[in-house]
Amino acid sequence: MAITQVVVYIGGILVLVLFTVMMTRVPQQDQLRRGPATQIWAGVFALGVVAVLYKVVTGTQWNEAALAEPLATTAGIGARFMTSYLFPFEYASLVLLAAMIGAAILIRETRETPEEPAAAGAETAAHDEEVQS
Amino acid sequence: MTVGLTHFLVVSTLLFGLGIYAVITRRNAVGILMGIELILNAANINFVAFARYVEQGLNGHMVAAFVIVLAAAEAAVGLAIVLAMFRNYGTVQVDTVNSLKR
Repeated sequence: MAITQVVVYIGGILVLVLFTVMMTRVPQQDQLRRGPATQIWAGVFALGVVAVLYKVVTGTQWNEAALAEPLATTAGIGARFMTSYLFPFEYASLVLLAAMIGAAILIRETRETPEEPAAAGAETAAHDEEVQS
Repeated sequence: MTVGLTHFLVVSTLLFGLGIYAVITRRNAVGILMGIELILNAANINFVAFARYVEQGLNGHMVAAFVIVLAAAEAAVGLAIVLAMFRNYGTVQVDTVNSLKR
């Protein structure tokens, strides 16, 4: 499971994030975060959530089973994908296909209306000059 | 000291809090998506920890695998939306994209 996590995140999501960061230039004058008031408020909120969850986590008597030896999980996971989890497996593949098509359509250049890409290009060019100056 | 279930739960709680803080404070849409990834990973840690210590089966692993799949799909669509937003507005700041307000 840990190896799956590493493979998916390094192979997929990190590459996606890096591409997006490269393709969307952040202007220098833009603030990366919100103002200090929002930051304090958000920090208090997040700390409150963490405190409540910590209280719940440490205060509950979990129904822990006696610790068995860590068994090899890969074969079992593969078998379950094909038997009892077959429908969620197929459904997840469908979701991935839909996400892939949706992302491709979203980032496709719009060719139906010639004005809009030109305007966007001009805007981007102006943006470039702004960044360079 | 042996590592027990509570330690895993505490780690995932901290991860969840950091994710919420990132989602709230970031103005960059990519940063917000990364915060959402943190939250999903906190949930994944919980699933696997419970599968190891309480259920002693593989169902938690299966659910975690599906969560990873959905997180990947969500990241793909979200980052595509960010790219489209940058193409149309020239920015990735979430509070400057407010055309629906006007």
